[in-house]
Amino acid sequence: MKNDEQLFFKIEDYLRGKLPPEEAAAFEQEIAADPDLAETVEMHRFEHEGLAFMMAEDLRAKIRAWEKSPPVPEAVSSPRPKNQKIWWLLLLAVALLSATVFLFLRKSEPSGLMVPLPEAPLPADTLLQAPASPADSSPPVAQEGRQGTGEQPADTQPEPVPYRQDLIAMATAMHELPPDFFADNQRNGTAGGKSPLAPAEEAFRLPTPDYKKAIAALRKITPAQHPAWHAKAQEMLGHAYFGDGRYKEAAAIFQEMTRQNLSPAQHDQAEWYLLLSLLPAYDRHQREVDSLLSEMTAEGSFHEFKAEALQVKSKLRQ
Amino acid sequence: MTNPNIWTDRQIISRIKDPDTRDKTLYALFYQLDWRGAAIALVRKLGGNEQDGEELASDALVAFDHNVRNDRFQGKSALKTYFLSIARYRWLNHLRRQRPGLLPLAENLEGREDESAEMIFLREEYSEVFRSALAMIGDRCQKILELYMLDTRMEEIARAMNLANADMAKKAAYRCRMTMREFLQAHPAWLDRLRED
Repeated sequence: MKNDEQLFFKIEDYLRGKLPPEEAAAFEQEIAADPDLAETVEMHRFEHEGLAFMMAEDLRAKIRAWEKSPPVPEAVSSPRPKNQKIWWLLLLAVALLSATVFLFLRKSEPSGLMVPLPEAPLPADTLLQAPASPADSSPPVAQEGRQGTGEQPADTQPEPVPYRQDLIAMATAMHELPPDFFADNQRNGTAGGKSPLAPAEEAFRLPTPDYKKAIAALRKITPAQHPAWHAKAQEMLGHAYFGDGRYKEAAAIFQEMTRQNLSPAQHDQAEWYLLLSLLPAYDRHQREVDSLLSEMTAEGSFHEFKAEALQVKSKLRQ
Repeated sequence: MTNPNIWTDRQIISRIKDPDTRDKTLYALFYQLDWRGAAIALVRKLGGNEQDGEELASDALVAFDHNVRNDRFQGKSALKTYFLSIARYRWLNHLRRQRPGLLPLAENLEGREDESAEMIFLREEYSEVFRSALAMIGDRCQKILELYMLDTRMEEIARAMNLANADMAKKAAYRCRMTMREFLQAHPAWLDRLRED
């Protein structure tokens, strides 16, 4: 979906003359060599004709209306005063200063237990965060009902939360790996070798995926060692947890993803997987699930998974 | 800046390209500076009547707006001359279609910078398809796509359409186009056009 959207806006920029000349020339070569791409570009052109038609109709209607009443005089809709811009800049400066002071004070705290990833994976009333040692740079995972269990590897711990089997079946049936899940993971690793994600990917690709193996491999990918791969590793880890039936850990990761600065399509995707991960414990997470469903299916919403969310909503009502 | 009598051509172009000032500028040109009247007079001079002139003037303004926004105006003449060239070209084209062969179009007519006759024909031929597609995507999507085509910034689209932020506006524009595409792809006219190409 992300790739589709990126290509869509690239074609738009190309057709509207917004690509730099070198990029436009390179893109033209791509179009010449790829009949599918050429057809997609033609489709865009045709749609542009449709939109030009729409705008022409709209302007004609306006011209007819102007004969009776002219558009609002300009003075009424004058541009925003420049001072407003200054105020925004001042506010931004104050916010940045506050953040700097906060970070400085936080760093000065004696505990030293800084954890790089999810600070609050899910609402505090429903989930607890795993204790993290300074040496363990893997992201903390939500540990429901495991207070006081120390630092035993999460991989070997059974999930103590009672899940509803019917909802597990529904969530599993609706869960599909994203289309770009395996894209290019085998290439572009360090020094041209395999990527650090390759072992996990192999575990996913087995006829019966070995999620535990994938989890073990993915947890080794730390932001410090593999900054370029960490985000993708987290996404894969979320799916591995889900496949392994560890929905709470999966939910923690997908929720963290929803807070990151992702593209709209990626954000929607993360929300959808968060919803699926919360579903098996619907009785416990009803508020979160209902709230997500409500946002995703709202009238006028353009959520990528609106149709799927409607299905979930309908099944939950049954 | 709000007195159209002192606008330069460059200012007019920039105002038409700015979604905030586009409508007011077109209105000012058409009525306050009476480009409409000039187009009607031209059509009358070329054998049309008042009503022909009124319709043609509106058509010419629509084409003028489209061309200016899409950088088709090459600056070979003053903007008003260009507008009247479009009107003239369209009127002659109209006559030619009514009486083929009687009035060959002059090759060096500046109005040829206007959309090609092929484009006009295409839009007319598919007008029903486009109408249906637009009806299907709904008013909200139409508004979003119009703002998008006017190069409105995503932040502005988000504000105008009550969307959360620029990302949501971008996504909305994308989704609306995909909905439109689904309709067009399902329509045989699209396939016909592809085959022709």
